[in-house]
Formats: sequence, structure tokens, C-alpha cells
Amino acid sequence: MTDAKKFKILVLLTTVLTILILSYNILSEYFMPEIEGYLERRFYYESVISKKGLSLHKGMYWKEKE
Amino acid sequence: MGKKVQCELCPTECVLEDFQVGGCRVRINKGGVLYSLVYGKPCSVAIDPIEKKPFFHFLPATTAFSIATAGCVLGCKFCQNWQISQAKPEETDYYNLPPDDVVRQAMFYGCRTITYTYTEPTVFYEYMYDTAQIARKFNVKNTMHSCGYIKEKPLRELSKYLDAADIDLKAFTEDFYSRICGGRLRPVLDALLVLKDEGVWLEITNLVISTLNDKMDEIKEMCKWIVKNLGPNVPLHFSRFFPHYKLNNLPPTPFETLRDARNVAMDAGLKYVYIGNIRSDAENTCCPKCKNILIERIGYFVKQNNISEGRCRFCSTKIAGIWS
Repeated sequence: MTDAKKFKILVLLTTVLTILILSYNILSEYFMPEIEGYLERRFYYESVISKKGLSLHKGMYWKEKE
Repeated sequence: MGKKVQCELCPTECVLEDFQVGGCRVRINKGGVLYSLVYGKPCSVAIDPIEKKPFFHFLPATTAFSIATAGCVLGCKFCQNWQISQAKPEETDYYNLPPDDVVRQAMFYGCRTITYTYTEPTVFYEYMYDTAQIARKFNVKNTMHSCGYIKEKPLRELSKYLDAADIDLKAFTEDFYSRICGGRLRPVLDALLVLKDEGVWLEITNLVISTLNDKMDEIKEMCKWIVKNLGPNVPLHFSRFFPHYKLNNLPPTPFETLRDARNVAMDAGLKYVYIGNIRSDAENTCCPKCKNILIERIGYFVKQNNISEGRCRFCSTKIAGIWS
């Protein structure tokens, strides 16, 4: 393997690593808490609220929020 | 994930993400739809004298079928029912009692009235609304004891079926509502105006707490507002505070403070001012003209009633209230 080829592989790996790190940072900052919060709430609902036998009755006076 | 929703029932106007529960603990967004968790699931059911609510000018010496679910729109540090008002519905035991069963039970036990009380009825609005509709059909009256923290539109809709409301006017400063209750004063005053406008019989309760809302100039201001905006015939109940929940460090309200508050209220022009949570002559209803005792009460119990067809039996003065 030539030095040029080794350098190319190093550049490629570095680029992939950088993209992965950046993606993780973006995900963890913007999306992960949302997903984590959602999973936490959903788990609580499934495991505690619905097991208590509380039925859902459609509420009055609310609106969808954009 | 479902869409966010905004609750428009109380002035808090919670914005809820999917599977998120509101500040009241009983309303949840599931899949972009807002649901009540407590419909037909009261955690408290009891038959009380109507005087316990307190209603002193509404069908005296009758009983009220009283229901409540878990949850509240406020978080008052002095709450007397905090075990259920500050609890989640999944933390309390409950009865399965759909609206038609509430009315059936009320009639079976001879209750003239159904009262939505103990916690804040706004949080079980749909349950209360449906029950009130059925009760009206069967000539059972509907009353609520509320903090008045509800938006205009739902309150006007509910008022169609509401015969009387006892509103807790907890203090007359925004600071008190913000620091002690986690709410605002203005929406409560607005709710009182709406109830007056809708012709719902109104009584007001003010829990007097030493060092927090017992300044006589504030009480005077509150009473003047009541007289000006709601009229002098609205009964006002000054209630004695006992240490509760997060305000265990304060002493019970001295009787002298309650007596002074009552004098201030009567000087401001209110005709019917009572002192509650302590035995005294200020539990009685007196004729504003001839001063004779019309309704003599001992605690929640009526000893004598001298009101006949809504008038004083001694001088025929019309007494404000719903008497039959």
C-alpha cells in the first residue's frame, strides 16, 4: 500500500468520523430529548395510567397546535 | 408522534405534547387529541348539607350529592383537600359513576342538588357538564364550589345548567395568587362577572390566612369590588384558616381578624356576610331591614328558618337567594 492510498483512507475515515460526531451532536441536541421525552411519557402512560383502568373521554375546549 | 394540542379550558392554557398530561394532572394529549382521564371516575362521593359548600342562600337545610375527581388547576399551599386535588388520578382510588348514575343516586338519596366540589370542578368539566345536563332534566339542581379559574367560553356554556356557584376568591392581590396559588387573580374576577351576567346564583368564600391576606385595606378593596360589580346581595363567607399542606407553619386565623373582616365587608355595603369554620352568631342570616334572625345555624345545621316565599317573615323584606 502506497503512502498516497494510506492518506486517502485516513482522510476518508476522518471525514466519516467527523460527520458521525456532528450528526450525533445535532441529534442529541434537537431530536434525542424529544424522542426520549416521548418514550418516557408513552411508557408511563402504557405502564401506569392505562393499567389503572382510567378510560379516555374526548375533552372539550382545546385546539391543535402547530 | 401526534400533534401538540393546547387546552383552552382554564387560563393556564397548557400546550401538551403527545402523551403529555396537563398541569391539572387529568387531561392528556394522545395522538393529537385531548382526553379527560377522570370522566365518570370520581374519587370522592358524599352527601353533605348544602351549608357545608358553603351555600347559605340556596335551598337551606337540604342535602347535596357531592362529587369530585382528582386534580386541580391551581396549587394552593393551604389546600384543605390536597390529598386528592394535588394527586394524579392514577394515584387515587375511584368509583365508576357515569353521569346518569350520579343523578340516579342523588334522587335515590333525596338530594335536591348535585354539587361539584372538594377539588376543582373545572378539571372534570366534561363529566360535570354531562351530569348537569341530565340533572336539569330531572329537576335536580346543579351547584359548584370552584376557584373560578376557568375561561369565559366553557363557563358560559356550563352556566346554562348551573343553578348556583360558590367561588373561592382567595385574596385580592395578584401577588397572593402568584406566590401562594400558582395562578392569577384577573381570570377569577372575570369568571365572577360571567356568572353574574349569566344569572347564576353566586356566593363567595374568602379564606382568611394570618399574615398572607388578612390586611383590612385589601379586604375593604375586595368588598368594594364585589359591591360595585356583583351587587350588595352576594353572600360573602370569611372562612377560618387552619394549618394545612404547605402552610403548616401559620396559626389558625384568630376570631378577632374574621370579625374585623366581617365589619369591613358590612361597612362596604354587603348585606350578608358570614364567618365560617368557627362557631359564632355570624353563621346566622339576619334580615338586612328589621335585623331579626331569619336562618339560625349551628355549624352546617339549620335550627330555624324564618324565610317564607323568599321574604322575611317579620317584615316581608325580600331576601336574595334561591329558597325553593
